[in-house]
Amino acid sequence: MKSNPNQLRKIIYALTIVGLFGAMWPYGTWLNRVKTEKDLGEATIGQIDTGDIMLKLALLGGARGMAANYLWSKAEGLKKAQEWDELKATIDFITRLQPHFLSVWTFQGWNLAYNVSVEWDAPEDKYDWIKQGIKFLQEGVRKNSRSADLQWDTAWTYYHKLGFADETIILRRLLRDDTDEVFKFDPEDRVVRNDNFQLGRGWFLQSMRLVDSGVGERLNSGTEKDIDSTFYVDAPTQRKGREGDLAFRSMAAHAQTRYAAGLEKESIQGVPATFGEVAKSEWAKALSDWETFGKFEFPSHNEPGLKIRIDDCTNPAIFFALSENARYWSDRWGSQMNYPYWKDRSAAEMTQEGVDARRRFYEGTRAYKSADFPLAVEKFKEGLEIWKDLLDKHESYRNDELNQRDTGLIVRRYVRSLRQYGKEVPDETPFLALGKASEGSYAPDPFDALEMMPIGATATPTQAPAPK
Amino acid sequence: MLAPSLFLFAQGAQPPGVSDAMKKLAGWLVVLGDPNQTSELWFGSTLTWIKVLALLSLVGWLGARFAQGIKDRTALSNKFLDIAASVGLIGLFGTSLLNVLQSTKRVNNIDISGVPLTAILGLVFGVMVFVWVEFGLWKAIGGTGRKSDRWVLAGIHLAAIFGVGAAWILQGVTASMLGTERQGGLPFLLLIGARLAPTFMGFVVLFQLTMLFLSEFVAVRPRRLYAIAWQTWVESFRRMQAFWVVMIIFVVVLAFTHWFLRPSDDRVAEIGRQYVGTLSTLCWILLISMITILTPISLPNDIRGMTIYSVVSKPVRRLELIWGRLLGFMALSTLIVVIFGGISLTYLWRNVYLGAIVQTEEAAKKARDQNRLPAAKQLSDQASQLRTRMSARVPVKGSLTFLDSRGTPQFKGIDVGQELEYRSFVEGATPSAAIWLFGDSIPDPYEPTKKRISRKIPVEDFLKANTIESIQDQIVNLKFADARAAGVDPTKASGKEIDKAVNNASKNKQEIDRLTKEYENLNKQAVVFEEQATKLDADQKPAEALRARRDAAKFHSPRVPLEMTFTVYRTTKGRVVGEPVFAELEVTNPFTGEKYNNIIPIREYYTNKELIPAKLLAGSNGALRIVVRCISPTQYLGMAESDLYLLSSSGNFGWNFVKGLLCIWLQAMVLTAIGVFAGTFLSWPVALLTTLAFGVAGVAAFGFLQQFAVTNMAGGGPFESLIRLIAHDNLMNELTPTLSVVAAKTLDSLIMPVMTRLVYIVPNFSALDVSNTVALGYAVTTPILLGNIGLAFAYVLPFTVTGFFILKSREVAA
Repeated sequence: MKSNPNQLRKIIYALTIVGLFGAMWPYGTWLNRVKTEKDLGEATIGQIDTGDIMLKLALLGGARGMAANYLWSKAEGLKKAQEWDELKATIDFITRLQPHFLSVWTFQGWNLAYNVSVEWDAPEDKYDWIKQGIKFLQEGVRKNSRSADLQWDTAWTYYHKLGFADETIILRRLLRDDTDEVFKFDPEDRVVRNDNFQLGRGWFLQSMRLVDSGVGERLNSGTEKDIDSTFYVDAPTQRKGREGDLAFRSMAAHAQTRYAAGLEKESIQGVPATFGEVAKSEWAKALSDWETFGKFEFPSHNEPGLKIRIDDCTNPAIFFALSENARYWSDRWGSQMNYPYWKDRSAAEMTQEGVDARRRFYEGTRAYKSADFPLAVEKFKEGLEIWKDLLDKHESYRNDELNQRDTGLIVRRYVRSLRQYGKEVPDETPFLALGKASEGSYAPDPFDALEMMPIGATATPTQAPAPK
Repeated sequence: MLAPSLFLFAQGAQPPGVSDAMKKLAGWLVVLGDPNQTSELWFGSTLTWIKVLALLSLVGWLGARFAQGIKDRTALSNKFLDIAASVGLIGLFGTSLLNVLQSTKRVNNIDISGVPLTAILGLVFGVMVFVWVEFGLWKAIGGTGRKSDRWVLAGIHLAAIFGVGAAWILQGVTASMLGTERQGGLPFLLLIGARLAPTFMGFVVLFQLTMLFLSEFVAVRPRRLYAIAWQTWVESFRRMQAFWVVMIIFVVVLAFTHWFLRPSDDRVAEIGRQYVGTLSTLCWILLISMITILTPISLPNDIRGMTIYSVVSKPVRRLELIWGRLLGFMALSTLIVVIFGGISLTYLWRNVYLGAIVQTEEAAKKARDQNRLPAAKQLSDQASQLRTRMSARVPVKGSLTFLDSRGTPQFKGIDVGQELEYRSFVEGATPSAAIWLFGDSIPDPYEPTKKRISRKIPVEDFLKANTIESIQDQIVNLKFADARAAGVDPTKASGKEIDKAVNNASKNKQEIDRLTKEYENLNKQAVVFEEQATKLDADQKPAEALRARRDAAKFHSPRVPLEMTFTVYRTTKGRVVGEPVFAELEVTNPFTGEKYNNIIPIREYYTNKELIPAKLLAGSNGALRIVVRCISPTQYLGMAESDLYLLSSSGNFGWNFVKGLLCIWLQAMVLTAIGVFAGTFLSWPVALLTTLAFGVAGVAAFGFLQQFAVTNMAGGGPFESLIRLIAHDNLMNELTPTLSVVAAKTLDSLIMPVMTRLVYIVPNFSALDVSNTVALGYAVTTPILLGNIGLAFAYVLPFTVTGFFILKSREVAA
């Protein structure tokens, strides 16, 4: 029988294939070991996604960068063309190509939540886009579980974009009504939350925890260690949580304070304010958060080894025992963060008197807005008396400008209610001077439905006026 | 000078001091001779197609004959002429160089008795080359001795003389139009002639080729076509396994689509668009890739493998070889498209209809039950938007003009500074308004005083026959006709005057009386039901009242759906947080004066829907005036012409999707024709690259080539652009005329005429692509579909016929 050259060739090919695969195995093992050593493995960075790997396989090597570049410029074009849904699909593609390139997540998450949402007119649509932005960032967190930055970005978007927008009262209502429990999951306390500030707090805390745990050592290498001594092609730098980042550490307390303050007004459209034990305990939690922040030891800038605790500036006994340099930094950072105010405010608001006064102010304002002046007078009067007693014990809070403006507004409304009611303003009215000072400087609280919306507006006013 | 005057003729402008007949003749000479001009009549595009074919035929014919002459050593037999031609060619290059040097001001312009030196040089060198070609041609054709070729050669010369004659007429008419002497003398005459004559010469060649083609065409037999097609089909399956490869890739990609495409649960409004777009693209990519690889390989392989001998030794015509292949490949494409379509539709049904629409509507209902009203509204709005996208809407569009904030008519609205200039804006609580006009003869917004266009509403599509409104429409139309017959303008006269005129002119009186009776009868019945409904309402029987209202509605035409997509630009947050911007809608029937007003909240980026009473269309003669104002102070509403339309019908999405696939199929057919054509004369690797190049150019570069052909591109031709690219220079900056820049510009001036003609050959795939129309939920209407089919065949026919001529002249099995 003649030997078939084709047959022989096929056998040689098959053997070569098997041989190459065989050689790949020890190479792969070695590569994996090095990856683990250098902390470069996909699995250690975050969750692996089959789709990403498929895409990367399809667009091997350098073509991936070109494709990402093309998609990035396409995304900018789509933004100009106001093709928002296509924009989202395109940036999803970019992250599939470069799931560990953190700037894409940060930039595009912000782009969706801030820039795209603002292009939509209806608050419901704005909410959808902010949510898409947050979920995009969360996807980034899922794929880069060691990035404290992305967790902080997520927290910030919950806290700031949902909590400080012009439409906040409506956006918060939409969040409250949202049935998406994954979106409303607080990673810190592992429960579903109905409030963006609580969610923000959870994510802020988680980001802080990640920085403190040192898991982010690789991330810190970009900032603290000598970059030259490591071998990263694309050394990751960390923006948030570096040493001395005061704002980073204070955000959880801010979020909790916002939440507690939001409870005591109509900060969610159509949802009445909450007082009592709930409010008290939330303010107590805020105080505890502020104290945690205040007791964190920050390194001083000018004296190696000297640790500064901001809280010391509120405790004279400790404060005056400190070195001059420590006193300087404690006081400076304390005022920079307005720490005494926040601490004292939380301490004041968490008391029974604090909550009682707030409840009366709220009821008084409701009555005032519905022109029930006798009731308004009664509530304001009671409230102001409790308020005065309380503030006498909290000097720092009393002297704060923000508080004085708020109190001034209450006094002014009290005075107006009295006049409407046909009564004289009693001379012993507390904070009368503040009321006078607040005349002519009326700026309604944009985060209170009672101030921003016609009373009784429970749903979004989308009903058109009647046809002509 | 030349181009504007030609343009003037083509536009049919009325030049002073020229007789009508002369003007018409000049106009037609331009329309027939200049490939860049065409008539505005219905056959305009066909005429352009024929002119382009004629030009290409001329080039092909001359090239083929001349090449044959060189091959047979008959063309290059005169040494003296050969040298003269070489000098001529070098001279032409030199002339281009001189021209560039002059235009870059390196050399001063030189005129000899008013005529530029470059024109004279160009003419002289051109004549030298021309004589060489002329001599070669006569020799070559004399050599082959074919009678028809000699006739064509003679015809070409006559056509060339005719072209120059036409140029002479045009020069004369232009001169008398401008009231001057003939300008430019002989060089200009020849230049105009050089522009017109090739087309006329091409007609002669095209005629010969058409005759040759027809003689082949009548010999084509379906039986043999079928045999070749069947062989191609079997080959594709057996040898190439193309079908299975494509099917497997499609199914694999589709099975993992959710890995790549993840529409958010929170934005279901547009997921239909994303899915439809992705599926169409996927189908397109796979089909086109298959065609690109499969079609150009087939014929060269047969020729190389010598299997072609066994085919051509049978009584098979060459045209059958090509068309048979085309049919075979298209049968394969058809099978693939049908399977893709079936799978895609099932996929869309599952993911978009059941997965998104139904689920979102259920979620909206649940939210409503739980009193989460804003969420419920959001969900139902999104579901409604998605339903809108998953349909096949036929819009009836008007013509848009604006009033600015002072009430002055404007062509565009207010610019609020957005990068996207497509939409312009009207200001809230000012006289600013957007006005959509519908009608048979309305002013063209571009030239309101000169030109009128038609945006007539097909009233019969909106008014149901034998309803109150449709009878009203007939009555009004008859009355108006009578009034016009009596010399009364019904649009200006009062009702009484019209009635008087109608009574006097008894032409339609009987019919009007009959219709009036019918109208009164229907109206009476409708009123009975309506009164019943009111009474039932009072008796608190809502179900029965509803039934009575439905009965009453049967006598009326359904309300006319109006759809709007506006954008909102806010300068302040508004009166109350979250309050939408309101638009005032005013619809007027300009003939009867019937009006409808409403105020609607605008939901940005959604399709806002409004139903207007059908009686507005009664007696409208297809005309309506729709005015949109923004009534929220300090806010702006943005709109473009296509943002408001009457919805004539809302058809079935599935069928529309199939039409979209048909357009992909058409693109595949064009590329198949190109692939088979390339295979007739190229080896398979080159043919494959050629097909690929055509495909890529058709998709990516057609728009660019079009710009090339129509306008002077900023930044110059390819060589100049290369210099700018390397030097990081912008497009607008005039480059310093260094040696390299001058050289680049010279090369550009030689290559650009060729590049600009590429637009005639490269297929316009984007024109055939309707996937976006389908994804947006608009119907691919029959005129669009027929247009696309026509366009596809306009590419397929020339390519396959050229392939036939090439194959015929090739000695595959002589």
